[in-house]
Amino acid sequence: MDEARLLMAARMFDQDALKTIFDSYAPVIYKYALRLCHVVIEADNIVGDVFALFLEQLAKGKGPTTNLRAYLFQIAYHVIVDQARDRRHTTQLDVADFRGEYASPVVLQAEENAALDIIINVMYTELSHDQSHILILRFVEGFSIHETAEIVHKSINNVKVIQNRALKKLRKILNQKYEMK
Amino acid sequence: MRNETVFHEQDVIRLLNRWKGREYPYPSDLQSKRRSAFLAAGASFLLHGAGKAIGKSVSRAGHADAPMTIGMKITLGVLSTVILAQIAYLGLTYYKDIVAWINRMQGNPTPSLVVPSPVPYSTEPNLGTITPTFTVSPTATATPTPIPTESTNWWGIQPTATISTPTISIPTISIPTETNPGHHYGQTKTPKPK
Repeated sequence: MDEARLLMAARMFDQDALKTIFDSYAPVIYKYALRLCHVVIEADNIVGDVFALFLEQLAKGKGPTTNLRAYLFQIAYHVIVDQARDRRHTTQLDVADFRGEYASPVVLQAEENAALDIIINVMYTELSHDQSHILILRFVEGFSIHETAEIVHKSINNVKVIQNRALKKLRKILNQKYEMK
Repeated sequence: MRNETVFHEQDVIRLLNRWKGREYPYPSDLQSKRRSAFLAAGASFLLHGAGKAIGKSVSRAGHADAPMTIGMKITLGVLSTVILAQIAYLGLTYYKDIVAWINRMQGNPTPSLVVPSPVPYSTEPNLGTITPTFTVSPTATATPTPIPTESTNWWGIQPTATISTPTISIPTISIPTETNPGHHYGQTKTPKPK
């Protein structure tokens, strides 16, 4: 079933369509949420919120007509930003737990793995919410600049600026960490 | 990636791309609970929230909560207009009867409509009609009581002088308006003594 038909069926609250949508996108949204909040229960709650808001939009006759994935990420972005504002200060332990418990590693070189851990840590502790979101959406989830701009509700130029600053900051901190070693 | 421990931006991007490879599986128990809740919410919207939903299929047209069609909206609008017009017509036709009936119900007498006479309007105050013709005639007569003399006639001398009663008469002051030459307050001409 193509996406347009799926969305049309979802507007009629067709159970099969809703099930298909949930099974396709819930794990993706969960992963995105977990990358940003690093706590399983919170990521699960975010998934619940995202799909509840999605249903509300369908009930109002709104919601997406195309690109459901970007639409669900857009909802997730707003939910995560809202929930993460008060949670930024208690992070360090969570990051460690998150890495140790839930990362089932694909084979990476040890050095790259260590560098990636540093990046994850820095993204969570040093970068702003927008910087983290944009880097993950662009380079982890693979959204285009245009899609990312729509998801985070910013202009394309603004997204580019945020992305470049975030990359510079990450590179600088990564080099500092390795110089100290 | 790096031999001299210097990272470039491309290295950072490549590391971020590698992050995709890390798996974060959704715990199955949590996912199944979420899915059940989501499907239940969808079914609930279908059963109870259909009135809120817009653009629904024809298959739900006979549902009790189904949204109104355009024809139903037009009919409802026409009926509402006709009813309001009827109410307005009856109200205007039987206005007096309705008012009287309401007053009867409240126990009040029927108020008669009193139209006040129109007040003439002029741009200047009509001072010409004020004629302050007043006459002050305070004819006062002072009759002092004679002071009783004290009988202290120790030497047998009879008093010969008596105090006569004085009569004070204040002349009548009449201010005729025609002859009053005063024009301003505080400049009223003092009447000449006759």
